[in-house]
Amino acid sequence: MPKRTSQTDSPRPGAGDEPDEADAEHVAPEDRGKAEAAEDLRLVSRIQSGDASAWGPLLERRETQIYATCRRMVSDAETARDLTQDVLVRLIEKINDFDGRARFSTWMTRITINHCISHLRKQKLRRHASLEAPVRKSGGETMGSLGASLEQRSEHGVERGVESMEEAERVAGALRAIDPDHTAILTLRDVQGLDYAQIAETMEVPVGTVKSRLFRARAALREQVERMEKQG
Amino acid sequence: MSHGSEPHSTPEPGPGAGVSQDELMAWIEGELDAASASDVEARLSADPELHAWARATRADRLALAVLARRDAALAPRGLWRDALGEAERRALLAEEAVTGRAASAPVVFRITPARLVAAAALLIVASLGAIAPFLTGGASPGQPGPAALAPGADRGAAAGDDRDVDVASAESERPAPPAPSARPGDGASAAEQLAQAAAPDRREPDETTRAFAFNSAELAAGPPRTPSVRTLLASHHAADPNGIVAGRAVAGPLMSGYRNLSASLEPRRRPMPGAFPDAWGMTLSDAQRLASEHRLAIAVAADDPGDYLEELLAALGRRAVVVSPGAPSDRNGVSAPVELLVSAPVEKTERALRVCAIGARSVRLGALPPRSRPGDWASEALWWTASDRRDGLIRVFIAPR
Repeated sequence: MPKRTSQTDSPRPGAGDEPDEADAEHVAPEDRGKAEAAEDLRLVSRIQSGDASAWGPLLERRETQIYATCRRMVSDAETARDLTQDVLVRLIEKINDFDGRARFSTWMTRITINHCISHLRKQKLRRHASLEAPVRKSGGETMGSLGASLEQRSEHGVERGVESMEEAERVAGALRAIDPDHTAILTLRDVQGLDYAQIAETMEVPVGTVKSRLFRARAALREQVERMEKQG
Repeated sequence: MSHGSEPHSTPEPGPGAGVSQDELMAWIEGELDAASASDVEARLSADPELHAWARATRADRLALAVLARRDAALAPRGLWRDALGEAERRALLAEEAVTGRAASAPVVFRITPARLVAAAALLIVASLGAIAPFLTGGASPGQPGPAALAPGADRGAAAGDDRDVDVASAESERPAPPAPSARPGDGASAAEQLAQAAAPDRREPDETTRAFAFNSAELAAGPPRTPSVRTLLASHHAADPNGIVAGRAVAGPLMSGYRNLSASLEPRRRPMPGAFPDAWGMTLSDAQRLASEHRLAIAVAADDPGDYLEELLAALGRRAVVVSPGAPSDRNGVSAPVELLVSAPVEKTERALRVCAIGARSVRLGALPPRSRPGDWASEALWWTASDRRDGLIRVFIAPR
C-alpha cells in the first residue's frame, strides 16, 4: 500500500506549492494553522464583547483568502470583489452567530463558498434561460462516463504541465463552467489548500463524501478543459 | 487520514491499472511519499490512457494553485472597510425600519384639547395685553402692537410675511435667542409661551446648548468621560426658537443598533480605520481641520436648521456648504421638521450631486440614486456618508431630542 504523506505536511497549493517555501517558514503548517485559529478566535471574542477595534485585524487577515476563493469561482475580478464584500458584510452581520465550535476560517469559508455557489447558480440560470445549453452536470458521473470522457480527450492534453498562464486561465475558465458544487470543492482543495477533514467540516459532509465528490469534480474539470481545448 | 480503505461507492479509475481511486487522487494531489508515488506511477503506466489523464488532472490542480497565488498577490486590500460601512448602513436601516417609523413620519402640529386650552389662554392673555394700554391710558413705546403678538410675527414682520425663508440668510431672519433669564410669562413672547404650552416637558434652553455644537463648553473643555453619540447629542440639545422640538434623534439608532462599530468612539482621536465614527465629539479646531481636508459632513436635523447654519458655516470658515437645505420653517412660527445635510465642500461630482438630493422635502428626486427612499432622509444621508470610499469621513449629527 502506498504511503500517503500527512496532509498537513503536504504543500498547500493556496499557500505556496514549492516545498522550499514551506521549509523556509520553519513552522509546521499544522502549528501555524492552530496559531491562526487561536488568533482568529481571540479577535472574534473581542468583537463579540463589543471591541470594534478587532474588526480590522480580523478581516484584514482574511479578506485576501476570501477574495482568492471568490476570484476562482467567478469569471471576473470585479465580480469577485463584489462577492468578497458581500461575504465580509455577511461575516460582520453574523459574527454573533459564530459559536467557536468550528474554526473561524472554516465558518468563513463556508459562508464564502455558499455565497459563491448561490451566485453561480443564479448566473447559470440566467445563462440557461438566454443563451446556451447548460453545462452538462457530471455530479452523477459513473465509471462508464468517466471512461468515455477519457476516450474523448485530446492527445495534446497529455504530457503537459502548467506551461503558461494562458493554459492556467483555461483551467480557471473550465472551473467556472462546471457545476458550482464541483467548482466549490476544487476551490477549497486546490485554491485554499484545505485538507479533506477541513473540507468535510466546511461542507458539512463526511470525509468519504468529500473524496468521492472531489474525484468527480476533477474528472468534470478535466473533461471541461478538454472540451475547451477542442473548441480552441 | 487512512487511504485506500475508502469508498466503495466511488468509481474505480479504470480497468487494468490496479490503482484505486484513492491512490489515484493521492498521486494527483502529490500526497504520496516518493516511493509510493513511484509505485503508483508504475502501475498507472500499464494504462497509458489513464496515466495521461491523471497527469493532465495533476496539471489542472497545479494550474489552480498557481492562479491562487497570483490572485492572493493581486487581491484588492481594504475591502473590509467598505464592508463595515455597508454593514453599518444595513443595521441602521433595519433598526429604523423597526423603531424609526414614528420618527420618520412627518411631524405635524396636532391640535389637541390641551393645546387648544393653552392656545385659548394665550389668546386671552394676548388680547388683554393688547387692550391694556387703552384701559390704562395709552400704549407704552416698548410694547408691541397686536400684530406683533401673533405667532411668527417676530420672524416675518420686518421683511414681509410672504417671503421665503432662505436658509443661507437664516441668521438675519433668526430671532434673537431668548435671554437665559426668560421665564414663562415673564416678558416671554407669545410664540415662546405657545411653544411652552405645546411642549411642556422640554428642557429650558440655555446659551451653552443653543450655541453651535463645536462651541459648546463641554466639548471645548475636553472629551466627555464616556464618549458616545448620546452624550454628544445631549450637549447639543436645543429647542427651536419657536419652542417646537421635532423629537428626532438621528444618531441614536446608530449607537444602539450597532454597538460593535460604535464602541470605539473616542473624541479627539481619529478612530481606527473601520471603526466608523458615527458621531465624534471634537473641538472646533478639529472640525475646521477636517473641513479643510474635505473630510467633514454634517447632518443637521432640527426644527429650524437656520439656527445652526450660520454658526456652523462661520465656525468652519465657510468651507462647509449647504447642499440640501430641505424645507424651510413655515412662516407662522410653527416649524415643520427641517433637515439638511452640510458637506464640506460641495464638489461638482456625481456623488456630491447625489448628496444634494438628500432631504426631507427635496424636490430633486430625479437625482436620487436607485437605493434612495424619498423622504427617508436620515437613512439616505447616512448611507451616502457611510458608503463614502474616502477614509476618515467624519460625520457629526446634530439633532434635537
